[in-house]
Amino acid sequence: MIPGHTRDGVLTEATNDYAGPILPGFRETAWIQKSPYFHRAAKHGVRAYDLYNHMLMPGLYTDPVEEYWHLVNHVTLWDVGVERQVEIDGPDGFEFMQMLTPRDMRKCAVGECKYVLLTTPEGGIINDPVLLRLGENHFWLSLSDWDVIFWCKGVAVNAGLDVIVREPDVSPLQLQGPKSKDVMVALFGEEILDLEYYHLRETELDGIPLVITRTGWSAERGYELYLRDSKFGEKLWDAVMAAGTKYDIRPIAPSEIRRIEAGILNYSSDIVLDNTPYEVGLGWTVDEDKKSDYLGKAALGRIKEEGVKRKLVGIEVEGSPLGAWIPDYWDVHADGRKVGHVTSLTYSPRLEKNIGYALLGIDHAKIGTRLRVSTTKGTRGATVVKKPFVDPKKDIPKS
Amino acid sequence: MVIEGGQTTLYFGPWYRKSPFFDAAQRAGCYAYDLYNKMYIPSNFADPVEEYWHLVNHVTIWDVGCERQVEISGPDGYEFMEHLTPRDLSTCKVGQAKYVVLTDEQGGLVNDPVLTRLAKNRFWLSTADSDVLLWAKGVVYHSDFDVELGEPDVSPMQIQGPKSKQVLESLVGPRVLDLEYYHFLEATIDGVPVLVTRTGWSAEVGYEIYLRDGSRGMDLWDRVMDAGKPFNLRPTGPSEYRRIEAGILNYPSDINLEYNPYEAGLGWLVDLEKKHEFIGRTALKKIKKEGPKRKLVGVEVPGDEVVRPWLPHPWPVRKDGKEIGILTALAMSPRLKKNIGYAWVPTPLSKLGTEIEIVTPAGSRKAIVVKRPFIDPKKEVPKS
Repeated sequence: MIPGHTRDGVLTEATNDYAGPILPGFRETAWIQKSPYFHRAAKHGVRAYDLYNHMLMPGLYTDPVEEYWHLVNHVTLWDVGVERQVEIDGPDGFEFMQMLTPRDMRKCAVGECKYVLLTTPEGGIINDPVLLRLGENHFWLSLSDWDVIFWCKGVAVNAGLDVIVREPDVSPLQLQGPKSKDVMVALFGEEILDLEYYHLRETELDGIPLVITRTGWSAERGYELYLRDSKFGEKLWDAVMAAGTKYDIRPIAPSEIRRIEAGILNYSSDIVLDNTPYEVGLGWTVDEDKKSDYLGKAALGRIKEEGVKRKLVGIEVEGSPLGAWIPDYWDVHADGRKVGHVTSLTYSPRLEKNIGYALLGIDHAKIGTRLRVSTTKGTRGATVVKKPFVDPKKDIPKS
Repeated sequence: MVIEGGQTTLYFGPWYRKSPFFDAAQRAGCYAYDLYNKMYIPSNFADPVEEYWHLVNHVTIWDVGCERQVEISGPDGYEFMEHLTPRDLSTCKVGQAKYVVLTDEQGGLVNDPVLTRLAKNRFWLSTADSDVLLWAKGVVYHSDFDVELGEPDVSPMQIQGPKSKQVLESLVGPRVLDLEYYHFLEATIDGVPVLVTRTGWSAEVGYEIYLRDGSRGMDLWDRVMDAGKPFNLRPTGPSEYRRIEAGILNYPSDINLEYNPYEAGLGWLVDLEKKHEFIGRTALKKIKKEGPKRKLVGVEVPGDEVVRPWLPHPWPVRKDGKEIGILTALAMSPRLKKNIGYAWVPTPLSKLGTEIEIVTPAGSRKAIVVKRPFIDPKKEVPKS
C-alpha cells in the first residue's frame, strides 16, 4: 500500500511533490490483458499501472523523478506490450496502407519505420502509430492507445482491395537511454550499431524471434525489441536484464517528464479523434504532394487552406512543482474567459519548471501569450512557449 | 487455498473518461474500479458476495456509463444496421431492444451490444468493451449507405434486482409496469430526460436508465437513490457471480475477434437467410456447414473455492497433460456453492461430463464440462 492511500475509495492527492494522483483499488480481471513481461515487471515492484489498449502497463515503479534521471543518464527497460500491433498484408497491402495515412508510403522503403497518422474522412486523427515496413506489402502499425484493428478491418470491408488485417503475436519492449547501445552490442554484437534511426532489422536472440527498431518514446538514444512469440517473454526480459547489469539497467515506466520535454504527444490526451494534424503540430506528417487518394485527403486540403481555429501549444506554468502528471484537463483562461485546456503537464527536474501542452483558441496560441491555469493547487500564471522544450532537432536520439 | 485475485493501483490519468455518475459512486464508497471502453467502472462498494445477495434479494444501482453508445441515423440507418449484424431486424419494432452481435468478414465477433430502435432509421448500440464507432465508421467508408454515425450524450445506469420494479414505478409511474422485457419507454425524471429499457446484465428483473444529459448525472443518481430508499436500494458493481450463473458473456474476455458466434453459443443471433446482406455472411455459412472446431462451455470445478472474487487472468485448460484451451471466467456461486465458469475447448471435448484440468497458479484442478446457464435457462426470472 502506498503511504497516504486508503481503501475507502477516497482519491488521494500526490504522494509527494512529484508523483501524480493514483486511483487505489484496481481489480484485475480476465478482460484486461497482461503482456508476456507482466510478472517479470511486477517482481521489480510496480506501484501503479496504466491501462492502455485493454492491457495493463507498468506506470510507476519508484518515483517518476528517479526514473527520469536513470533514463537520461543510464539505460532503462520498459514493458510496453500494450503497444499492440495491427498487421497489414496481402497483395494490396501497400495500396491499403496508402489509403489509411496522409504520409506518402512511396517514401518509406522496406526496412524503414515512420511515425504516421491514421485519419478519418473528416481529417480527425484515429491514431499515431509507428509504422514498420517489413515487406513490399507487409506492414505493422505499432499503436498508441485504442482499437485501430476495428477501424482498419472496417475500412477493408468495402475498400475492394485484397488485403489481410490482423493482430499478430507481437509484444514490444523499449530499451531507452544513452547506454542502450552498449546493451544492444552485448546482446547482438557490434553490427547492431549500423542500425539507423527509424530503421528495423529482423533477427533472433538465442532462438527468440525479434524485430529490432531504432525508435522509442523517450527522445533518448533507444531501441524497441518486438518479440514475435509471446511464449519467450520472460526469456527475453531476463536476457536483456542480464546483458544490462553492467550498465546499471533498470525497469522503469515510460517517462512522462522526458516525453514532454521532447514534445512527444500522447494519443488520448494530447491528440483525440476530434483533432486534425494541423491543430496538434503534426502537419509535417501530411505529405501534401501525395498523389494517391487517402482517407481525409480532401478535408485536410481544405483545413490547411482555411487555417486552424485552435492549436496545441507548449506552456510553462509558474510556481511550485505540480506533479509528474495531471488528474484532469485543467481549464486555461485568458482575458477573463476560458480559452482552452491543459492536455499534459509535468515538472521537469532538469529545467526546474512545470512544462506541458494546452489546446488553445488560435487567438491565444502565440508564443509569449499570458494565461491563467486552474490547477489543483490554485490558479497559476502561465505562458505559451516553444516546444519541444529540449533538443528540438532530435540530435540526442539520432546520435 | 483460495487464490486472491490481484488488486493493485491505477495511474489516475485524465485520459480515462469518468461517467456523469463517477463522483456519486465515489461518494457512495466505491473502493475498486475497472476500466471498460476507456472509462472507469465502479466494480465494488462492499464485499462482492454481500453485493450478490443484495442483487438477488433486493435492488442495486450500477454506474455503467462505460456502456458507450453508438448512434446510427440518417436515411439508410435501418439498412446499415442490417448490414452490421447477422440478426434479422425486420421484426424489431420501434420501441424494442435486441441483443445482437456484430461480426467481421471472417465471422469474428466485433462486439455484442444491446440495440434499441428509437425510430425507423435511428438506433443506439449500447456497446461492450470495443470501439464500435471506429468499426462502423470504417465500414461506411467506400459504401453507398447514407448514414450518420456518432456518440450521443447518453450514459446508462442499471437498476437490477427483484425490487427494481417498485423503484422504477416510483420514478416514472405505473406505466413502467407494462414495459415488456427488451422494450423501452422515454420519460423525464424531475426534468431529466431518460430512456428506460427493461434489460440488464444480471438476469434478475431489471432496468437500464439511459441518461440523456450528461450534466444531470448527479441529479439523476440522487433522485434514484431517494426513490429506492424504501426498497433498500444500494450501489454495487455488476455481479460477476450472477452473470456467470446466468450464462451471460463478457466481451472481450469470453468472446472477441478470435471467436465466431457459433463457437460461442450465440448461433441464435445469426440468421444466414435474412434478406439483407451482412458482414460475415459468407464466412459464417462456411463455419456453420463445417461445424465449429471449438466451443465455449460451462465448467464446474469440484471442491473448495478456487479464486476470489473472480478470475484475474485467463488460465490454461488441459486434457491428459496437453494444453487445449483457456478458462475465461470462474467464480464460486454463493447460491450454488460451486465453482462455475466458462472455458474454450475443442469441440470433441465439449460434451457434457467431459473431465478437463484447469491450471491455476497454485496447481491443477479437475474440472467438468457442464451445461450453461447454471440457473434459470429460460430467463423466467428477468421476464417475470
